[in-house]
Amino acid sequence: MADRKQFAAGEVICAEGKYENFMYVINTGKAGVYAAYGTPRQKELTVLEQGSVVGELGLLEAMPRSATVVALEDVTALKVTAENFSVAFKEHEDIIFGTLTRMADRLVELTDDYMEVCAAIAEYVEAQQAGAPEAGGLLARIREMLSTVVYY
Amino acid sequence: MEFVTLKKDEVLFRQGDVADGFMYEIMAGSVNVYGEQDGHEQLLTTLNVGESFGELALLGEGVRTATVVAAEKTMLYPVDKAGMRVYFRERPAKFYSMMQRVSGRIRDLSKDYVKASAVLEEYTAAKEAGKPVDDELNAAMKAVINAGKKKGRK
Repeated sequence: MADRKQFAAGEVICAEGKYENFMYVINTGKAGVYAAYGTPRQKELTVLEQGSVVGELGLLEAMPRSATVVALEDVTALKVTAENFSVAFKEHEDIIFGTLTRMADRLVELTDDYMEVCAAIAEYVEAQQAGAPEAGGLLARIREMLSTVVYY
Repeated sequence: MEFVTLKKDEVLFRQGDVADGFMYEIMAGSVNVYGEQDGHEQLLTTLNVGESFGELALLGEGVRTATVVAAEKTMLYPVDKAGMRVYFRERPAKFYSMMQRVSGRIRDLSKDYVKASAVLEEYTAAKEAGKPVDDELNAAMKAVINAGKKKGRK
């Protein structure tokens, strides 16, 4: 199948910042996910095992890759595009269902966090309007909340 | 699964209702979808035969995010969490659009965070400089505060 890709250990599967409108289902092998790959700030975010999906936001949202994915050993992966999605879905129903569940959990979590930060901002504005001095501590906490949101 | 039938103008659910865990596909008729914007209920879209809605209730979203009213005599096919695997197995394109809907919501929410952060910083800078907060910033701040108030509805 033309959409079956092979990557040798060390090969880059996805490069951070690049626009690509497809995702991969990793069939065999492991891959590392890195922020700032190949720079002094490089950080390993996670390791993907076989049966993982990577790059779904590229497929769904035409978003640039949010991280770099590198094959840690020889990897075979199925490239999933909008065109072959139905075929891939039939072949990997559990995995692709799992991806949706993970995205949905992330959405619920983000929604809760967002409402919490907005409630804290409301509290801060009230304190400001009342001229309350303790608003400074609250502001630091809100900034912390806003900064810890990683996009995906 | 039994079909759900609605008379014209019958409300299926309202924005803010606790979700019943079902998504619906329209088998006959059509529905109007309304959402609250700036305190007013507005028609967002009309959905017709073959279209579905309410998918996020299958994924654990607790609250309906829009109001759905039958635009005419309408028949709906309800799908719950237990039935979704079988339902989507035969409809990969619908599954794809559901994934897109979820990822779109994640993207929108990420933008909301960035916006809230910018509004907060602008507000704080104005306060620290002892400058008045202008109408535009005030309105942006109110929108953020209102988003926080919705928390109580859950």
